[in-house]
Amino acid sequence: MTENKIEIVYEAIADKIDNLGEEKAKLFLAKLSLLLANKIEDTSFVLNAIDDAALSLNQ
Amino acid sequence: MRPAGRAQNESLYFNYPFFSAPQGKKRDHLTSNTEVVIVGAGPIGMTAALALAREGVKSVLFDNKSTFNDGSRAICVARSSFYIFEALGVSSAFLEKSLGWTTGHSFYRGQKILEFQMPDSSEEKFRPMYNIQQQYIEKFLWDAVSVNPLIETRWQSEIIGIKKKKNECTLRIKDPEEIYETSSNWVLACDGAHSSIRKFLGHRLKGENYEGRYVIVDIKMEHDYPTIRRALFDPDCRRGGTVLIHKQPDDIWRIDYQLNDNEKTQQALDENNVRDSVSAVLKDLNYNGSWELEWWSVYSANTLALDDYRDGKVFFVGDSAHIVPIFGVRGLNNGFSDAANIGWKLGWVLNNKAGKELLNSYSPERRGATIDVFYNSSKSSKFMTPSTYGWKLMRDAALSLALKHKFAGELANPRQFTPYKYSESTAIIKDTNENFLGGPKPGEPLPEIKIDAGYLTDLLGEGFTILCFNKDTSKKLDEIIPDGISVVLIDLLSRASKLLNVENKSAYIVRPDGYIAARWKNITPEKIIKEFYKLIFKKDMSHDRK
Ligand SMILES: Cc1cc2nc3c(=O)[nH]c(=O)nc-3n(C[C@H](O)[C@H](O)[C@H](O)COP(=O)(O)OP(=O)(O)OC[C@H]3O[C@@H](n4cnc5c(N)ncnc54)[C@H](O)[C@@H]3O)c2cc1C
Repeated sequence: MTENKIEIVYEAIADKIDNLGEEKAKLFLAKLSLLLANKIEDTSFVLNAIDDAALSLNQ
Repeated sequence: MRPAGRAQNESLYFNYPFFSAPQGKKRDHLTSNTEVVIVGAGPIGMTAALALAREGVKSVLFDNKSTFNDGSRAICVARSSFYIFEALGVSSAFLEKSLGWTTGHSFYRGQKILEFQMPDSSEEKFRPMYNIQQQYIEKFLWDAVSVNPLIETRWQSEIIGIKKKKNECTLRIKDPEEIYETSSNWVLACDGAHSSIRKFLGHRLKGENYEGRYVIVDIKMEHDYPTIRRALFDPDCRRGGTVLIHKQPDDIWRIDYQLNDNEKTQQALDENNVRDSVSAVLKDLNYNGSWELEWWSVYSANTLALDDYRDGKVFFVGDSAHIVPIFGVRGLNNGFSDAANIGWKLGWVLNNKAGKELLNSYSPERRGATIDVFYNSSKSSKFMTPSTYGWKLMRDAALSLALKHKFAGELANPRQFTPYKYSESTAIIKDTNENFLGGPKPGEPLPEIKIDAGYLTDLLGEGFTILCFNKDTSKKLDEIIPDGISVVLIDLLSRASKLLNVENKSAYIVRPDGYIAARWKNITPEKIIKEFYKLIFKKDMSHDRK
């Protein structure tokens, strides 16, 4: 994805979370992950992404 | 439990029989030694007695009650159990009464998110699942047990002690008239989840207790929904909970609803609360007609099993050996397979047709099946009753997505239907370099397919069966096979042969319980017989020829 494309997605997610409010954000993000993961053939890629996304959150 | 004013066995549709303790002449031989004692005349004890009788082995069956188990309890009987009923000669009563089904519907907040089909086709002799109340299951088994001359049943007779000796067990029995002792060479403990034999011998079930508690309720109503399992996730009537609905014969409907953490079990079981909860479920189903309360109980989703299903000459069979959650519908079905498994093995050993080592395969095969259920049902349980934040969030995400996206609904599929495989058992011979490109492997059940005269499994004999595919092999085998094996010749050009992936000189050996014991792509009749002796742990052909 080019810089511009990811920026569009970034902003759309941020806006959606703001629209939904903090309480629903978690469920929304979980749904979004499943929806996107379902489109990716390479399961190990998704599993790695899960680990990557958790990096530096545990400190 | 039953509504106020009705006795424990006062059912809206079933007449509980009354069985007295042994009387008169029947008491003369109470203390004589017996070959096999079966403790517990529940569904599993009766099945074990019939399985032994099929091998010509006598047994004495003890039960401390004076009638069948109270309430409908386990209602889903799987295809694999129908094969067992058929072998025991009782399947027609079951087929006549029960309701076969293949489909499940799952709903999330009132909207359908999944329709699943269990594996079924016109090649199959039995449907993947049948609904029937446990009382009928026990009645149909009892109808066969009570007329079988090889089975003696002693009702109202409780085992109150057991002592293991070198070659036998001594049992202490209490009935309305006296306490007496009898000894037995073998004991099958089919005495249920609270097994006293297990306690007397100092064994404990081990495993996890899941939090999920379900109230299971039977009601009578005229409701025209077909026999389809319905699962309601997060419905209006039970926010955050799950409800399961099953149709049973006689206009009886099973409603299972999950209790939330704040609901006390005792309170939930109060008749008025049960009525209110059922009314709310029926409202969600848009049912406005009348209904009557039949019976209710509570069930929690446990996964518990013994480390070993055998202790010397005592075998644990059914719930005495394992307790599994209800979603897998495997508790009773696995018990039937336990009973059939020990039945033929003990029968073959007692008839001196197989070596004692065959009995060592009982626990690994059947405990393996339980562990498999634990694995699958703990998966289902974690979906149906998620107990942690992460699992609940992802479950809710999947359900919410499923309203529009089919793939997410599939996560709600209970996938509980593949039979367990005995691939690592000592009572099979694994494929060597046999170059099979397909077909069922040793340790798997013989698959079903339609043939001219019926179904492939109809060809199986009572003992082991050798399937072969050319006339010469079949003729030679007929000359040299020992007692207890049947030889079946299958046309090499048939669809069955294709399914089995065979050639001219191939052979399969099928066990008395319908599982494949061994197979070869290319083998001589003499070699088949030699290999057969390994399977039954006999060194040579010393036992009787046909
Ligand atoms: C209330 C309830 C609800 C259930 N609901 C479901 C369900 O919805 N779905 C499902 O799949 N399963 C359900 N089950 C489980 C299912 O009923 C069992 O899996 C099944 O009954 C097991 O059969 P069994 O023969 O091994 O044991 P049991 O049916 O328990 O039979 C054991 C027998 O042994 C007798 N006995 C015990 N101790 C002695 C003794 N010392 N001497 C002589 N006799 C003795 C007992 O009286 C009993 O008749 C339920 C069980 C209960 C109790």
